[in-house]
Amino acid sequence: MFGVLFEQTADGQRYIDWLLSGLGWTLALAFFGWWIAFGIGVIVGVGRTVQNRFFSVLARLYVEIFRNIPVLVQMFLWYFVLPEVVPSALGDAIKQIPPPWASFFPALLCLGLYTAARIAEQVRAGIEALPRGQIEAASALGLGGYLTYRYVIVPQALRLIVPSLTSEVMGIYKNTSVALTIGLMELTAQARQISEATFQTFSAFGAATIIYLCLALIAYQAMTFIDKAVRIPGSSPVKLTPDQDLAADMQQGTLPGAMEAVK
Amino acid sequence: MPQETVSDAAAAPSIVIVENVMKRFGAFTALNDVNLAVGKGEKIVVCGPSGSGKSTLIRCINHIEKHDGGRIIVDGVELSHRLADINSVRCEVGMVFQSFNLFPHLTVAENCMLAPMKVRGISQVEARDRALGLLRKVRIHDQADKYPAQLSGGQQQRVAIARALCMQPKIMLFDEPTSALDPEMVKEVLDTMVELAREGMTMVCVTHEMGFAREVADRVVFMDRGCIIEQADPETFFRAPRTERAKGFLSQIIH
Amino acid sequence: MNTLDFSILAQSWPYLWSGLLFSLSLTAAAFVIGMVLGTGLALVQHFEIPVVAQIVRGYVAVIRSIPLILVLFWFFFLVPIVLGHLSGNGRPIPIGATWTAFITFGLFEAAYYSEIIRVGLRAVNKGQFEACQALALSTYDTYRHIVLPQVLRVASPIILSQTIILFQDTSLVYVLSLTDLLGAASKLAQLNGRLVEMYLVVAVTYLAISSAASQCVAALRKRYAVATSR
Repeated sequence: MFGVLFEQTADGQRYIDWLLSGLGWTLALAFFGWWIAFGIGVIVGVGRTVQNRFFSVLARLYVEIFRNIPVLVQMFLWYFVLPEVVPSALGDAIKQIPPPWASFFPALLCLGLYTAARIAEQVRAGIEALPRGQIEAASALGLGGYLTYRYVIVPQALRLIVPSLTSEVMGIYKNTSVALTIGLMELTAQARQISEATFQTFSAFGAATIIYLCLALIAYQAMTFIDKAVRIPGSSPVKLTPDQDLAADMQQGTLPGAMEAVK
Repeated sequence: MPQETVSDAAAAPSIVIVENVMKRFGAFTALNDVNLAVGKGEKIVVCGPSGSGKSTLIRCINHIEKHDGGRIIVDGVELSHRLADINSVRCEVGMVFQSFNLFPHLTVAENCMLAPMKVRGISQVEARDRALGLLRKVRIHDQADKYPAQLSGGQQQRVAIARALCMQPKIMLFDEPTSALDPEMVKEVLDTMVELAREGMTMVCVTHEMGFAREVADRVVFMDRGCIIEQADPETFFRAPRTERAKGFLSQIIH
Repeated sequence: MNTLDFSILAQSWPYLWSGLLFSLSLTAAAFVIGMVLGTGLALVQHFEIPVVAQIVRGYVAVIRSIPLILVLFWFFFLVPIVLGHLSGNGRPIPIGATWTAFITFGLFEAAYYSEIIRVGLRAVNKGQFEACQALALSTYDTYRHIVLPQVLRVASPIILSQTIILFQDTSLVYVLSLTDLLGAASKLAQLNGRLVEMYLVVAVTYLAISSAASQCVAALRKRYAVATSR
């Protein structure tokens, strides 16, 4: 069924080379975009929780703007609008960037900043979920604001949100496909191009789908691994049964069969 | 007065019969060959240390736990694992839980009306009349249109009692109804239960409230490690428990 | 830097408005289809209906793992073929990009909503089921009157947040050349050359609608948090 992928293209390559090149752009976008998003996300997320009103309002504004405009619209803003609204010398310089970088950099910026807003909200939730006593204990030890965040708050908050960051990792690699609208030949764009060149739509999209599924699996496994690796020893999450009495009746409390909600 | 009920109960036919019932959770035996007969109108208090199987026993009586062996007969119907039997038994058996289990998204009155309308098929008007009547009986009819979360624990548990009574059950099961309550609210719930007992309701209560046991119970059943170790009228049980385990248990409960 | 000229809006707003209406109706339709179907998918998994549950699980996993744009391409290609087979003569039935968008978004969102509801179903207190059993309520009545209302209530902030994302995602119908808000703006921009103004207007419109909706969800969440604290 995927035989078509090994046929020669007009430019002497094989179709699978197109797919792999698309995969390369997808991965590059997701990988570098993720680190931009993570860095900015942590800073903005912390900013959401600090006492200083200037920073907290600024952080709030950032999240509101970047989270409430569709990725595709943001993509257009970076690609079409930015060169027009900056001083014309700079604008012209931007327009001189050769393809594919002319598409890649706006896409990278777009995905990084958009995902950062989402990560910032997770970081904030993580910080707010920490017991108040942690900040109080740090203050009591004489740690200042920066040291408290750097060594006490952020390390704990990030551990808490590893599971929810998984969905952001999945989110950013899926959103890389939006870059095809500004001409980046990433995986989905290549799949469409193969489909149009060969009329083997099923094979082309099928191959891309399988690759995306593998990426999802890898992302999921990686995050599970990270979750385990950074977990504080002795703090494995314990799920308490809501039915204390049954637990008492059974003396130790964890019996999967009996505990499961009635079907 | 307790003496009178004892003689009544002794003469009455059994409405609940538990015969050689077994219940396991994995490797843990929760009930080991338990036998118990409850007469019509009889009030039984089941007590014992935690993990003794007392809750499991009454949960088996309306098939919230499925017993693995033995027989349970309620009002002439044997609890096979057939749905029709289970439902006909559940219609005759009201249950009050430790954690109330009121439906948080329904008002107090709606909590009481739902099952009579859906299971008994009575009209909304009739269901509401019945609900208000029983809420009056547990003295919270003025809260009928509030939501459970707006009530105190004691009030919630009284709603739970009214909700069970709305099905007009022949037997009421209480699974540690006061254990989740703040101390000052225990009495209002116990008073309601005492009143119910006086009206002749058949009751099986898992509770550590020994005052309640003395006041209304015809019989105290003491369980440990999945077995019924001892049963007697409350006077005898509290004054002169026969087994060491019961003595140990009582010395922990009554200081 | 060119000067911005928003006077162009005066003549283009009716077209943008019709684009916005399309975005909103696509959101509404996808919400309704997605919720109904998503609840069904969640229940199928919750009840572990043999074979069907596995298929549903696979469907949800695949849909959630691939980009929406690829899903749109898939459905644009597959829906006519599937309809052709269903109609019996086997020839693909072209249904056009608009119908493809409605079907795709409905089925796509169903996967996301079903995950929310499935998790919600697992979170329902076991005592609620026991109380229903003790009252002899049938499984249907238990789910219809007790379980689902509670799940939907608890999950409503998450469901609404997902719907705001859905509203933003509808902009992706751009790849099917449909005239939603963004599509309208992009077509006008090609005609009048004022693409900066057009895209800024679109961005501000999305920002205003999404952030107003987010505020409502936040208020709802707060109210809900108060109502359930006990």
